[in-house]
Amino acid sequence: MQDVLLHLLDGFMTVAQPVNLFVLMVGLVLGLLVAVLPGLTLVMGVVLALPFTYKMGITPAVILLTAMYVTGTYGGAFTAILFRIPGEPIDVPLLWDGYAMAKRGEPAKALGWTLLAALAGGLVAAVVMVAASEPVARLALTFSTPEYFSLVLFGLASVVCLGGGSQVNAFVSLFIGLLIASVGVDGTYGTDRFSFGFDTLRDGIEYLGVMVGAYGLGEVLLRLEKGFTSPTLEKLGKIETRLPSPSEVAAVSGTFARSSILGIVIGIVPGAGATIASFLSYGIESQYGRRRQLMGTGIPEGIVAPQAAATASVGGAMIPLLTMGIPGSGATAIMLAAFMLKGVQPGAQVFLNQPELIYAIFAAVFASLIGMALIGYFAIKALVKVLDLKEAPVSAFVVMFCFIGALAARNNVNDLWTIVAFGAVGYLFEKFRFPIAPMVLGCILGPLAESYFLTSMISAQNDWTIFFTRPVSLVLIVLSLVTLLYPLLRARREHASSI
Amino acid sequence: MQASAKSAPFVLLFCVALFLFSLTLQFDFPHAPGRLGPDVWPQAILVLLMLACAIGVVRNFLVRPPDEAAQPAAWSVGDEVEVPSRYMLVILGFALFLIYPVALEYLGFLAATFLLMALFMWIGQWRSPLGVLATSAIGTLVLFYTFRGIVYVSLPLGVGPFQEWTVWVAQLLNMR
Repeated sequence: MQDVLLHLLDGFMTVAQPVNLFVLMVGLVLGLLVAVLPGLTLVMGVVLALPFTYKMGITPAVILLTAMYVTGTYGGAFTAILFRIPGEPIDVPLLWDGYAMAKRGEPAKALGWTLLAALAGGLVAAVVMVAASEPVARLALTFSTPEYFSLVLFGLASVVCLGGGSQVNAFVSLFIGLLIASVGVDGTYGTDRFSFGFDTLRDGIEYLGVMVGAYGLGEVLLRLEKGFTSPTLEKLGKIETRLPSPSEVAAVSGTFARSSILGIVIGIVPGAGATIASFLSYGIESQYGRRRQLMGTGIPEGIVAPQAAATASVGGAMIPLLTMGIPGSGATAIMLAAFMLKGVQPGAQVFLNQPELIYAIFAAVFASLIGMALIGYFAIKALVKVLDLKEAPVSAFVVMFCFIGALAARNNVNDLWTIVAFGAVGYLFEKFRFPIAPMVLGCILGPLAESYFLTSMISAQNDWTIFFTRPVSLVLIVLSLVTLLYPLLRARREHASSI
Repeated sequence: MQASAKSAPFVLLFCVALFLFSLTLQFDFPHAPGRLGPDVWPQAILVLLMLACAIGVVRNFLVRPPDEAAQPAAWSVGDEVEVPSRYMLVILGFALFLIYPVALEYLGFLAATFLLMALFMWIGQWRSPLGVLATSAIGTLVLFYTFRGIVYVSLPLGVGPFQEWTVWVAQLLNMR
């Protein structure tokens, strides 16, 4: 424990270095800005920031993305509560109680609850992240390829089932992602797979291109379809934050605890992210909360539940990324890319051999939460003014960042075709209600899944029972099955009860 | 939406998956006894994809869809105003995205980016010629300076006079 605290102290010293501190501040402001602007999502913001990290050292690069990730779960709350403009899908549940409370004449209090929920959820998750990561990393060292395959399988099952909407569509999206990941020359046999003679495709399709295209250009096309008619601010009135009293906080302490824990768990599950945490937490509060009948009328529980869970999911998502190299969310997938661009493959070995890097990231999470709270309390009014910007120029810059980001990764103009193609795919997916997240996660985890599967089969002489005879692997496979079957059973039960 | 229209993407994807599956049967690799080849993984995924598509089609035709009007969307924000879709804008915007990589190679970063930004903002209904031109020009220069001068990304110079022009602007901005 003492070692952990000493490492964490070292981490804070690293973050306090002028360059890192500057980068952290930039990340905080950018994270809040992308969260405030309705055209930009948290993941998209982190994607767009990636090219700026190419020439940075790994520590400031990851600090920048971490700061954006943390504040990106919070900034949109302001526009959701005050102006009924959700900057992010994460913020939609905040409309139901946050906006209702603001409309009742208590906007400052609603913002106070949001700030406290984000800070409390984030800090609880950060403490869990620091305490749990080393044991998880040591456990991960005992894993072999069957366990890793089962873990990846669990992540893929989760993203299909937790995303909401049609499960069939989510499966189709996932399989398309896995298929995209298999394009190119196979690493073991050197076999050309689905490249159709194109050199670009022989190198494989980078998941970064898929993400930038589907999330960036796809979203821009969707908004262009509506003629860039996002609501703008008519009047920027008085914006202030008033924190609730200790007795008021004590009255909803159960919601704080439940939501924070749920956020951490959702964050740890590979594939689920802040949006799912936010919706799920609100749903649980609506079903099991002490004042569930009042949800949606502007009560603190309806604000605390989604916000605490969303910010807590950040700390949770960091655990599988840093200890096993498996991203728990879209934003951590970009962070994985940032690591890999610097030649570092995060995982148990890096965790245990380069603690200075890992604990600097941990310290950055804490520092980001504190910075987020300070900016949120004192300076948000200036940031919210970005809503006055016209959407067409903002989107033009988003498009340019997408193109430059794709170009800069490998200095290859051909990579631009990848993002253009996946821009169209992202747009069509949204139109036909196929979720994008499973496809992206399939692209990211596909190569890992294939490699772990084939290595396991080789080591077990093609005996597929290897995945069921090792306890950890078996548990993960059972969990995957439960995750896949639970929504079906629930739908069946609801159908039966409705008859 | 009609069941047949909703099923169209599934049918299309099923056909593509079937075609790709036929390609996996022609993969060229040295067959080693007792070892799985590079065809097994994509084949498994394609079979699962076809299965999911088939279920999607069956679901669309056999299962009665829920009354969409009666059910709020998962991310509904309430009394939002429905804005009509303008597909021509999407087609024009996408056409710009398609032209940009080609233009980048011939016109170079400066000219191609200026044109893309200006045309995109115009398509995006910003009807202020001065605003569009100024934002495009300043935006292009800021992006050029940031990514070439600070982040050291190798941005395309273009060919012929465009190359000379890009190099001249780079020198003007005190870049290599």
